[in-house]
Amino acid sequence: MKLLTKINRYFALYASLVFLLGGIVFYFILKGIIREETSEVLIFERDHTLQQINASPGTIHYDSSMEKMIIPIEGPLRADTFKDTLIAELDDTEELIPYRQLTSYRNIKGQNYQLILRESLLEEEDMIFAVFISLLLIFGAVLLGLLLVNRWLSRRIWQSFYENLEQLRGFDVIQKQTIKAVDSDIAEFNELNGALLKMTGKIEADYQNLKEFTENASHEIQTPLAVIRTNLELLMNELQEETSFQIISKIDRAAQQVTRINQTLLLLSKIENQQFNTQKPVSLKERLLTCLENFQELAAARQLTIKTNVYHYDQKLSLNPTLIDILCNNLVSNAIKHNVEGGWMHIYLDHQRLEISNAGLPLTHPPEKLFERFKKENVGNESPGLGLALVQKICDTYQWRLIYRYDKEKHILQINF
Amino acid sequence: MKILLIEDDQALSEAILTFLLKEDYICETAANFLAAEEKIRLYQYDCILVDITLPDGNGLDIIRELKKHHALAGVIIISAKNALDDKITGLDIGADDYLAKPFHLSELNARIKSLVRRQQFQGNNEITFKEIQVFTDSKKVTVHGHNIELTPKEYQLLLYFLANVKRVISKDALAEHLWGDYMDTADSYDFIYSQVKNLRKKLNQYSTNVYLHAVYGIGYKFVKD
Repeated sequence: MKLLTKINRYFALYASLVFLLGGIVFYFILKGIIREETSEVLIFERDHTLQQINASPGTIHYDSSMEKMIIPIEGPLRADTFKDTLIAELDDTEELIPYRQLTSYRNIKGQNYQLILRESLLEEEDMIFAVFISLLLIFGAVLLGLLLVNRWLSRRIWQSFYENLEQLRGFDVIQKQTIKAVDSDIAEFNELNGALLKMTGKIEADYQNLKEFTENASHEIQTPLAVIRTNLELLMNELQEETSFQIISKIDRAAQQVTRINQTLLLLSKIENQQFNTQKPVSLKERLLTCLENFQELAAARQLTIKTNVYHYDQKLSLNPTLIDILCNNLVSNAIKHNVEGGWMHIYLDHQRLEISNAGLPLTHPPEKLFERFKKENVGNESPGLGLALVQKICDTYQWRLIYRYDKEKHILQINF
Repeated sequence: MKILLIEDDQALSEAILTFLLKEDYICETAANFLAAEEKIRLYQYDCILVDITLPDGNGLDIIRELKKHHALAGVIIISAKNALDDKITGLDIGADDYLAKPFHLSELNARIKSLVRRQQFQGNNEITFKEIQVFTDSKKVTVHGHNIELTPKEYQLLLYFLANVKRVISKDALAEHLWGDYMDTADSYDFIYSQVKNLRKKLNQYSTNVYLHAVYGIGYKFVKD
């Protein structure tokens, strides 16, 4: 839920509570005032009636209307009383109507009388209804205002927040772009920006350190590895026994694997560190064909049929030749490696894309993991699974899109330029 | 044949030295920039193996120094940096070859021999081993004077074996020699096996001597039995 919506909810809840309580209090106050007013009207009416009676000569005229009754009584005079009462309408509906009633006792010309005066309270109900409606209207207006103000606020005040959020979403530590936080006049946002800048700065620094560490570590490993392998090779020529030879050979092979992993890691971090900046006009077609030639015997040994369709490509792009060689070699060797005996391989190149497809068994893990480091198809394989990670990294460098598809026993790797 | 090895890591330097001495080269070592500089001023070498990162200087400067004195020595850079820029710079300023550490000694041997051949005979040269003759300029191979047709990979293999006669060469070293780092060695074992078999067969077309021997199924040795 959005922060604004949340705040609005509480605000609306509070507003309705205030309006409810206010309404109740208002209701009673209003009712009291109307009572008071009606009572005053009744007293005035009584005094007026008495005045009229006293002024008129002769006998008292007994008025027995609903609003005014003068009844002679036998008992003693009592104090005046007010009370609310319900009286049925005299028409057919017999609807009960609320009345305020004043009962007075007076001695007029030696005779005790009971005076009953009534005033309808129907007006009071109308009034309260009117007040209720106005309260509701005001409440609606407040809510609407709240909504509009918030919309305006989110557009004005939150704008910098959303802009910064967008930048954060696009943040990629590899791309080395820095976040330029938009300042706002809200202290909290600025605080957040400060914290974010500090954090991304730290991420960048950590990443940089890690990269340097990888490169340095790989570099430092090279020499001891060279010592191991060189001595193993010397040893290999000293040995006479088959068993020890086999042991040495196993060690040598393992050392060679470590060498290869290490070199690839070094290569990856060098590409990341953009150490392949030198660019020359390179023909992708020529490089591909050279590479195919280099691997043709291997492909022939697996009885692969190779089809190339690269001949309407005649461009030379400004690229790093080493990276392109690594790319081609990895793609081609990959297509040979993950092929089936007697399978096929098809290379297509035009100005928009390079597509290498080959026969092969389906992947055992999700294709999106294909380009991850150390992800390999079969665990027993000696390949460290870094080849496609390299391909991906090179494609990233030139902002090419690398796509993998598997379709009917066909692996397709496509690079969109 | 005199070689100067400039390498600061003592263990590696010793191992390479042992190997080179066994291959009947005359070999001297220098462990740092100053020692190397002194040696190239005082003596003549046929081949210099130089590491780029030295404790007190850059191996590239040694190459520059060498070229300033118009020394005839061939230069092979052996570097752990595997930095391609270094390779390009190195070759630009006059180095003849570049080998990234770690490398197979047999590979180093092949490179040295190829370099010396180019240096001493300007590439117009033939390698002779018993009845086998290889003409490196025309890439022709004859056995007892009969021309034999080799595929490019078979030719590369033969040259490699001839540079490393009597040495056990592992399949890994062969695979790396033929395809560089790009092919997983295990995938290419079968192929190497068939290539060696074909090469042996072709050599035996005009000769009964068997030179190519499998060593415990792990590598090969080129030797007259």
